[in-house]
Amino acid sequence: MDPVITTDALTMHFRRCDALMGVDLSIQPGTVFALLGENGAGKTTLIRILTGFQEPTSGSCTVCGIDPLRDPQAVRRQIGYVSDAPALYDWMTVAQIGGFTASFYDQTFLPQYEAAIRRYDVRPEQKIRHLSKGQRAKVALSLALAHDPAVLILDEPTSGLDPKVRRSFLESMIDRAATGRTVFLSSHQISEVERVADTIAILHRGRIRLHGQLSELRESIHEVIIDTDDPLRAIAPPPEPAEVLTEETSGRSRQWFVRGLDPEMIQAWRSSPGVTDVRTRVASLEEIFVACTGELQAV
Amino acid sequence: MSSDTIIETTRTVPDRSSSTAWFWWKESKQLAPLIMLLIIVAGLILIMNVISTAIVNPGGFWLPDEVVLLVFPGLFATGAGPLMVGQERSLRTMEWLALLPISAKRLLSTKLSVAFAGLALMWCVVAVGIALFGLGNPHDANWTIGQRPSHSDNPISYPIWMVHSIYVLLSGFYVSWRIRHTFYALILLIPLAFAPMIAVGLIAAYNDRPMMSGTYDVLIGVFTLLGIAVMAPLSYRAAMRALGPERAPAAVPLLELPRRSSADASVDETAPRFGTRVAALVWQSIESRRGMLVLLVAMLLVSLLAFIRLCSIDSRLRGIDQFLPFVTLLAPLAVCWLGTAVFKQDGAIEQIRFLADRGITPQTVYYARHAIPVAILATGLLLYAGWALTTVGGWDRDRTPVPSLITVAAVVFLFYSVSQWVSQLVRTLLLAVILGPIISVIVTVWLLTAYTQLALPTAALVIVSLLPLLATRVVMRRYMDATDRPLAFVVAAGVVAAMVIVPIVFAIAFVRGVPGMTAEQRNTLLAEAHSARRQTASPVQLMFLDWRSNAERTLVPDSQKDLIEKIRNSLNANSQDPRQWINGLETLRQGSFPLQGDFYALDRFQSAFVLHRMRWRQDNDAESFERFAPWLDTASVLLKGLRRSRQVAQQEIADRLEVTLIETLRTPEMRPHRDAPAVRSAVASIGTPASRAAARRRAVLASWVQRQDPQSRSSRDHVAALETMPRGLVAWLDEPLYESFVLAALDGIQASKNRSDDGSWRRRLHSLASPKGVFESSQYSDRFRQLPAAATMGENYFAGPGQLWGRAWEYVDVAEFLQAGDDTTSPAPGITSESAPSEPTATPGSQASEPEASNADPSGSADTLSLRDSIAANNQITPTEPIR
Repeated sequence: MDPVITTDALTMHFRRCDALMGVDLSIQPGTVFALLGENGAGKTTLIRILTGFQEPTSGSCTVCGIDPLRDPQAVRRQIGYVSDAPALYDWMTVAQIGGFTASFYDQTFLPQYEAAIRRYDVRPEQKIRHLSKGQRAKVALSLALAHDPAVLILDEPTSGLDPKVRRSFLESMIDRAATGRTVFLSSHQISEVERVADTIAILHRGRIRLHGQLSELRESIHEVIIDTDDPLRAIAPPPEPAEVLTEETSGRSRQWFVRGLDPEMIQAWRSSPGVTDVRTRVASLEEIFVACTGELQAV
Repeated sequence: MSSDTIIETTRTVPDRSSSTAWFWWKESKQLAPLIMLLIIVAGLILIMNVISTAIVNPGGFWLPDEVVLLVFPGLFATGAGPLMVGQERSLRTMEWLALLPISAKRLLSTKLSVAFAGLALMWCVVAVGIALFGLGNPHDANWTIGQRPSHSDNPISYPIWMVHSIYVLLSGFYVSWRIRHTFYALILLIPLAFAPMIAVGLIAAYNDRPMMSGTYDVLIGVFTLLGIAVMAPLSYRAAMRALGPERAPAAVPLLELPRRSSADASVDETAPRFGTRVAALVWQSIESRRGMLVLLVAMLLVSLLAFIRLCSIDSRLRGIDQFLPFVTLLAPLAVCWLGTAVFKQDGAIEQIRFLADRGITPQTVYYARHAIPVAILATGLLLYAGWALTTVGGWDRDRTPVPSLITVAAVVFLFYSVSQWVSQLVRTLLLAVILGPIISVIVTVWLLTAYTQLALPTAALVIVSLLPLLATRVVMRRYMDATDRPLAFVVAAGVVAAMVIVPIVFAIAFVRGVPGMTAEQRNTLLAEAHSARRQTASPVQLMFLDWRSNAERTLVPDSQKDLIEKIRNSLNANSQDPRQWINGLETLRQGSFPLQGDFYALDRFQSAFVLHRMRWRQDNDAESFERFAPWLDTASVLLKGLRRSRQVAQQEIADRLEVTLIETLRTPEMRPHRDAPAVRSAVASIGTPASRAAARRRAVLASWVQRQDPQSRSSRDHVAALETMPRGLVAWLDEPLYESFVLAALDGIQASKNRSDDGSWRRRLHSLASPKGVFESSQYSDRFRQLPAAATMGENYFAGPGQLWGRAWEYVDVAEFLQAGDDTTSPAPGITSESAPSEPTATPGSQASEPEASNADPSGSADTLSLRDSIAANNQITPTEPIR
């Protein structure tokens, strides 16, 4: 199956920083893809390039097989996009902005929009200006979803939503993916992502540090704690292709997050002189994220 | 709320089936603030017109100038682009709009179409306004539409105004697509909007001669059309670029800077350190608007330099200097925008909220926001003062006047105060930037007009000028918390009300401070006045049949004659028989018609009269008296005619003629001729204090009632004090001041009749009729009245009426003098310049002393030389030399 979103060596240089450095991504249709990264990691820049608002310095990308630089309108017809701070016409009412937007789509838009705001319990006669942040997010989500886009791109979509609505919304994302639609999610909320995402990518300082199926990633990264008899005892790092993502020492204990851990490596450490105990467990997504975005990445 | 209700409410959205209808609806709604702004401005102009008219011209209404209406579409065109594009870009709704399946071309064309439709509507409103109010000047038009004469004398024709507004609209769209920052976009729009005029001005400068209005109009039209041809594709390209993907920065750093993510920036490396909180706030105030401040300071400096250059030119502006007046207008604009920058600029609201979130007091934030603009303005004023001190003041018609520092400071303060207030009141930067200067100009003009023309005291002006600053300070706390509405509007309404009402209250108080008549006095006197006026026959005009024709007068230019000959000719001009010289004399003699003449006519007659009197007295024989007798007779006829008049001015002339006549009759040389018909007629024409008082009273009252009739009222028919009153209150003060004059005059007339004078009526008449001088040195003073009447009566009617009332000449019995023995040779006391002063004194409560003929100085000549005689004396003509 052809990927719905691809990026190839996508690079974006701003005057004082490099937002993206050779980003390669491939997102399959029918998945919930989560892009994780710190603030300023380049998530929003990537989304702006994908939605045709920003020209990259180099590299290329496609969304639904269309180059957003060549035909941004075609891309935008295929997608629904909600930014982290949706800019809506604050002088319109909820109903008016729905009516206005619906006029550019087919007949199904308005009923779907009305159903959405009914579900979110937003009063249609209220002006956008008078809505709370969460209510604005609900309206923005309703507008982005009402035309049932093939790709839904969401930048921090649940920010401002209460836990109940957030849960309901995230579950609806899973349902969308189940119907073959793709959801591109950019978020800080690791626990939420963990609950709904099929595929994740961790963006750090403009580079993709980790990309793959969430379940596979979880299995591939382990926390390893090695206890020694002497705090100064040297422990050999795991051989390649294994990779130590982070290392931390606390007294006689040494903590590693290792990608590509092999049982033989554990045996090797256990047999090393001075090692009193070796414990391992599968890392959580949050631990993976911290490991990938930490300052000390490798020994 | 139930689901059904929600669905019902949702469905209440107007049914606009097509996206075009929705799009037009949305774009039209976005123009609403601009329309509201124009309505507010129009309303303010109308209110100011109504107030000004009510004050200055009660009962009438001043129509707005045609140009005021023509400017409105231009204002709409200026604001449309920045509002429909610039604001959408700054609020990022454009990005949301771009996410919808709308092509960039459709988006651009829809916005332009709505803007053009709005502009067309504006022109329709203007056309209706011009037609409805009958504005324009079709009789003096400078241009034509086809072969038909146009409707206006405006140097720029209506079609060019329209074409120019289209050009400005396109330029507004261009700058808004090109520049994301609304303020900078508007700054760029100013030179673009005036580019056609600048181009024409440069052509005129190159040719170094002014243009005919038609040529000027055509050239502006050509350049404007050229501008449209350039702006249309530029706007399209700018829009396509703005709606397309944002381009990646292309510049490659010359130095290989370390590449890093923005997250790498260390706080320690970049954070500035501040010693005090105020320093931090000031830093924020500068850094957040550095570009804006630099631009505004540049505008101020350029404007000041242009003004200095303008003031150094003492001839007609030529060449590039013709633009100087326009460049100087940058300064008021910069002052207003400095005020606007206090509360409105990109990100200003967020900055203020940021400070509010950190518990900074509103007072600190308020002063910190004002600190930099105020410092800039103070520096600008110091520079101006420094330059103004080096320039020579005074009025020169050819030179641009240099306003005083206090005037400039007052205007700057008002502009700044109002603009910062508007910027707090209005939500969007764009509206604040446009509305600020307009409201500032209106408020400044109103308050300075009130100060100079409506008697608004300085203290009140200062207080009212401070109100906008006070209003923003009061609302500051709520503004910081974003809860300033509706309080801000309530406070604003109070400020507007105070600005309008305070000057009006002071104006009313000033008008009420002028004492007029009580209702009872008015009714009583009006009844008498109407009766006096009804009894008047049509007046006979005092006219001279000159012996020299005008053609003859111009044959020999005066400059070619020597002085003596000129005087001789002048004297000979009046050497004929007055009965042939004065028109309508027989009518006057036989009928009961009043005479009407002016002071120049009287002066001419008196000069001739005195000349003939001198000749008679020099020769002092029967033949010379025969020649003089007609003059004596004519004077008595004229005097009677003047006394019959119902006009104050004619009574004043009569007083002066009567003084001359009494002076003549009181000469010893007259006694031998006392039985001559001319002398008897002259003696009979001399009135008594009672008859004069009656004539004067009738005249004062009739003149008063006559001036109430607009048909017969002349522009000079007012008391002199009115000219020293605030101009805006003249219409309101005219009547009470004249009533005061009537009361003072009636008191004076009564005092003269009774020969009692406490001086109060003279003080009142002085303050009303010659208010500029001091009473003690005026012609109403005791000192002046002690001088002989004939020596003081020249043309001093213009210094106030009633100066001769109640003086010694009034109480002289001429008949008794003529019947008295031949040994009595002294002239009339208190009449001639040589007589001893013996007029009634102004000691309050005392009875004026009766002038005694025996106390008079017996040595003087009876002939009192008026101004003409004095000139002759100065030209070394001895009094003894016969002048023929």
